[in-house]
Amino acid sequence: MAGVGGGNDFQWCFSQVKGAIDEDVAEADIISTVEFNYSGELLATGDKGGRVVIFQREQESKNRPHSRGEYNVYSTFQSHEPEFDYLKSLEIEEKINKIRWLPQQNAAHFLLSTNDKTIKLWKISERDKRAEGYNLKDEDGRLRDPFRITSLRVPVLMPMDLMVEASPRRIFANAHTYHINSISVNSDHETYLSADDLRINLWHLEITDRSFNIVDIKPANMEELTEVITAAECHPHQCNVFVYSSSKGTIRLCDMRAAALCDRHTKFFEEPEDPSSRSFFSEIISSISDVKFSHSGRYMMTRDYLSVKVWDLNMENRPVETYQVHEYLRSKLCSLYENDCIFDKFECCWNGSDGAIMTGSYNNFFRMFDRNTRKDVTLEASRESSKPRAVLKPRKVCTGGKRKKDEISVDSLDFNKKILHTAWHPKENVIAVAATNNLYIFQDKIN
Amino acid sequence: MDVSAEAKRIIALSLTKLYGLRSQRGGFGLQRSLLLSLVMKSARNIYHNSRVIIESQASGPRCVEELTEEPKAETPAAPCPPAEGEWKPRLSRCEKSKENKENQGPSRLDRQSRKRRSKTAGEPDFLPSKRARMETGEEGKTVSFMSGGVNWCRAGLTSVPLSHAIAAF
Repeated sequence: MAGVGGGNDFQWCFSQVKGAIDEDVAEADIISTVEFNYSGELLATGDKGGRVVIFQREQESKNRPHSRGEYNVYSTFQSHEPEFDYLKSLEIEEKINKIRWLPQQNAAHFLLSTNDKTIKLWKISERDKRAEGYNLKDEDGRLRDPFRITSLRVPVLMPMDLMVEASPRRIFANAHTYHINSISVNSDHETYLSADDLRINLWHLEITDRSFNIVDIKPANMEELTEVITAAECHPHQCNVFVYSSSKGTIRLCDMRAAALCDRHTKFFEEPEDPSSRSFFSEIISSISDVKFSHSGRYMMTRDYLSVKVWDLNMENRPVETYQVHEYLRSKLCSLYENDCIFDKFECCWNGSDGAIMTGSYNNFFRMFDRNTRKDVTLEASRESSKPRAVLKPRKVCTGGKRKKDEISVDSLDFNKKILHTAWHPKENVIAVAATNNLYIFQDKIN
Repeated sequence: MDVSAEAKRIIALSLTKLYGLRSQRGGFGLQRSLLLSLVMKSARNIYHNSRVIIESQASGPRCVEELTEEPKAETPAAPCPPAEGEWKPRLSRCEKSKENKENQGPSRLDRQSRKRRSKTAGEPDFLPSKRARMETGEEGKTVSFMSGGVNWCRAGLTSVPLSHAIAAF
């Protein structure tokens, strides 16, 4: 059976599912972001309760050949707490909006996590040794009586049970008036950008008390506001280039060498609207919810409500590829406006070779598109198909007429089950799909 | 008439959502409020245009002539501010002809425009009513219409297809 992501014989199999099975889902447990680190060894999730859970991939062993590269919990910590802005009488949610890993430079791992207002740099390190034989304190930590110290000794490192510690190393606060929607680590590994609805700031990872504002689209008169920033990302190789998308469906590429304030874009990407498809909700569905550079840096991908578009950075007037995610929803926009689903922000991601892209949909469906073969597949993250190494069966939505067997009609879709966050391993065909409070991990079948 | 009724419903729905944003945990979402205001602005324009077209069709050919001349005389309108729970109803196109009244004789249209102005000077009739709704029959028809899976603009129940109404402005 032809598949997407790795050739004609490619098949996706269930690997693991993390999270509770309860029907009643606590809002705090809803996963709000998923991110692999640069090597793919670690997988981080953030949830609405402000917690970060990091999974580590097991090393393959001959003793357990069937647990090839399983991800197990490595560290769990509370990244953000709910806060209250007394000046504005507003509560600041602890929900983790984004997690971005830093490239690993030593034994410790570093990641940035952000809620609506504050970005934090976390250090995750292992401790498997403990110093014993201190001179000034006992083994239980109590200070020794100085008069009882008659000799000096050198503390000795003794092995201990592995302990993973997460500690906040930097807190970048008070730089965003509006809600932060994106963070992106620069390729120089020294700076990163953070974007809210109207502004983008450039930070140095070592400096927390100041940041450079590089984009400001706030109008002098807020009544003239016509668009907001929806996502931003640094170029993977050129540390002077970044892009940001808007609620109008446009993408602006900026070069920080041109000016300190990048309000004037270097490139402007916009596809002319098709007048025949104009509808009452055109503005909403054209709003871009995610933008991602390809690993090569040659392309970028944008996600709006109904489609995914791949853009060549050298061509601004239209995307080079457009993939319809769930076109059958175009006739349902009014209902989706009523139940607020039309405001859902879906993310998208590339595979390691930039040959395939993935994004989520409703009914716990997620879609993959092979850019080379132009084939696409719809898969489902469900407990029913959660048997170990079970091959995922492609799903199909019936758009009208007679419904075939195994097809699901549009009216039967569960719009409460939405897959907004997905991640693809940087090197292998392993994907992580967040379905409400559950994290599904799928991988290619071992032939 | 169904177009304007649907526009009214969308405006009321949008206002309700905008009001709901204020009590949302995490504060006022700028992006969502902007998108809601864009939808409301479109619905408002459609509502007024549909009312004007319907009333012009009912009032006679002269109003239609003035309507066709109006777009040439008007300058492009500045972007309407995103409403945050308050906005004022725009004057209808026929009412703006009062500015040229020295070049025009008194007409039935002017008399009708004065009547329309007094009618619209009050509270807009698409705001959520605090009284018990009397339109259950119409609303039920609307819901069943939408549950058929078609955008409210698409079916041939109205004399003014929404796509044309949108294109008109």
